[in-house]
Formats: sequence, C-alpha cells, structure tokens
Amino acid sequence: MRDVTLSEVERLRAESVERDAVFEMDEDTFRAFYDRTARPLWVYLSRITGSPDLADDLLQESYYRFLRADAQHEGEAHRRNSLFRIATNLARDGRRRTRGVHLVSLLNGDGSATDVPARGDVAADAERRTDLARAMARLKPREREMLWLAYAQGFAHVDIAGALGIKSASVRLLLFRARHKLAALLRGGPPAGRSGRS
Amino acid sequence: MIAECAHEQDVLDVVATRRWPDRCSAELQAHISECAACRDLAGTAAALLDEQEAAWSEARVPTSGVVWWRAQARAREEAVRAAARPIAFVQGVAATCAVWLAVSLLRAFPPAGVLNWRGWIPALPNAGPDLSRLAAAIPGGLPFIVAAIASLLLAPIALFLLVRQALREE
Repeated sequence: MRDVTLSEVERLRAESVERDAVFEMDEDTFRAFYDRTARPLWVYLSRITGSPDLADDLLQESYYRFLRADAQHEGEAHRRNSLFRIATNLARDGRRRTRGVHLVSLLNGDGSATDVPARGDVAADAERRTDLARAMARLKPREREMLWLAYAQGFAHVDIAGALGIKSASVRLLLFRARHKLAALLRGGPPAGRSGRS
Repeated sequence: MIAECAHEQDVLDVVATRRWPDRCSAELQAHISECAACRDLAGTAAALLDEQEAAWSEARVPTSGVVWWRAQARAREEAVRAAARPIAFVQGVAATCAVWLAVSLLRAFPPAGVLNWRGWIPALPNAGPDLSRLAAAIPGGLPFIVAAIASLLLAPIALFLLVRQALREE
C-alpha cells in the first residue's frame, strides 16, 4: 500500500470539505423553493407539535436535512412532499423524546388566542380556536398530521401519502376516521370509535 | 367502513372558496344538513381552514438567505469534523504505540535507579530546592515564588484553551 504523506491527507481533507459543503440544489432554486414552502411548513409544524418555538427549530432542521439528502425529485410536489416528510419525522422524533409534553396549543400562555385577525366576533373566534385546539390535542399525531395536510393545506391524497410515508390507498379510510373523530370532538361528544359510521 | 358521499368534493369546494355556509346553493346546504358525512366534512374542513388562516399571520420564518447560509456553514462544519475523524484515530493509534514502545524499552533496559520506587519516595521531600532559603534570597520573597510557580502551571492550560478557541473559530 502506498504511503500517504501529511500534505496529501490535508489535501484530501480540503477536498472532502469542499465536496461536502456543496448541496445538490443551487442557491437560487433553494431560495425559490423555500419562499414557497417555509410558511406552510412552519404553520404545519407549529400545529402538529403545539409549540411555535419547536416549529422554529424544526423548520431549520427540516431544510438542512432536505438539502443534505441531495435527493432527486420528479417535480415540485414530490420535492414538497419530501420536505414535509422530513419535517413530520422530525416532529415525531421530538414527540418520542418528550412524550406527553406537547399538546396542540393554538393559544398563548395567558389563554388568549394568538393574533386572530379581526373578523366577525373576536370572542367567538377565540372560543372556536380553543375548541379546535382541545379537539386536535385529543387526536393521535398521525390523525392531526393528516387532517391538517388535507383540509388546512389542501394536499391531495397522494401527496398526504408521500408526506406521511403511508400507502396512498390507506389515506381515504384513515382520513375519514380522523375527520369523523374530530367532528365528534368538536360537537362536544366522545371521540368516534375506529368503526365510526356516518 | 366508509360511508362515501358523492357530494364530498362539492362540499370541499364551497368550504375552500369560503362560500359555506352563507353563500352556497340551497340544494347543497340542504344536503349538508341531511348527510352526516358531508356535515362532518364541512365542519372539520372549515375549522381547520380558519385555523390555517389565523396561523398564517403568526408564522415567523427566517429569510431564505439566512437559512441557506446557516445550512452551508453547518455542512462545512460537519464535513471538517468527518474529515478530522480518521486523522484523530490515526493520531490516537500512534500515541498508543509510542507509549507502548516507551514502556517496553523501559522494561527491557531499565536505567539504574529509575525503577527503584521505594528508594525514590523517601527521597522526594529533599529532592526540591529549599524554599525558605530561596525566598530569603529573592527580593519578592515567597509571594513571588508562589506567583511564578502558578504562572508556570497555568500557562499551558491557558495556551491550550486559546488554541482550542482559535481552532473552533477557524
């Protein structure tokens, strides 16, 4: 085996640094993609974790891992789904580490709703948001993720499957159950069972 | 089992376009009031859409430039760490070999008196200089000697911390 000199080691090290620091995606593409997805992703993370602070951290981490993955994407939707999948997994990991700590809180610490736009009755809005927060907190994490992606973000079933890492064929049934459960909770009743029928 | 309804997409459309409940057709409104699946769908979708709109204004995201720059810096840092790992490993192996060689040599060719521990220990108190005589001979006295010894001991530690800090900043 050929001897490796110290200068060669340094050169290899420098090359390795240079190679690893460059992402597959160029800066302009990333910035355009980020501008389109950062806000929805932050909202998604803050709602599924219940913590805006955690959402801040997870947002940065999600984009970093997305860039590091250097994956090839078939299109904008595929790219967005990959990002949401990374974010979802990070949120799940965080939840495993701090099991039982995070609830979906849509309110500030003093119980007031956060920056509700002045539309209609503010008190009624705050009450509705509190009800939704409580109901969402009683759902399973995957149900929360699915409902948020489907109805708040308007993802198609195939995109939900891509973002959550589940089979596309299962989305319809799981979404129906989650929706049924949330509706029952919002009505103030007990959560509907797995075999909930309309 | 799913109780599917043919009107689900229509319901989603009116909710998404903010036409439910006041501005959707009377026919659809009548259907929603009768169909439990569509009622659930309208209720949950509208609540989540409202929440999404409220949350949108709360979102505080850093600019894309900042996120890109941080990602680049972190990737570089991780690459340096990854590249340094094998070098540190080789250095560790080399140091272990050097220590092993030194111990082997000492055992093979013990210098006279070096391995005579029992003889060393009683001689230790008399091995150093006589501090009281030294203090009397130096203008600063004992405090000066203490300060000098402390400087000698602390200087390598300070140097180590400074070098480490400089390497981190690099």
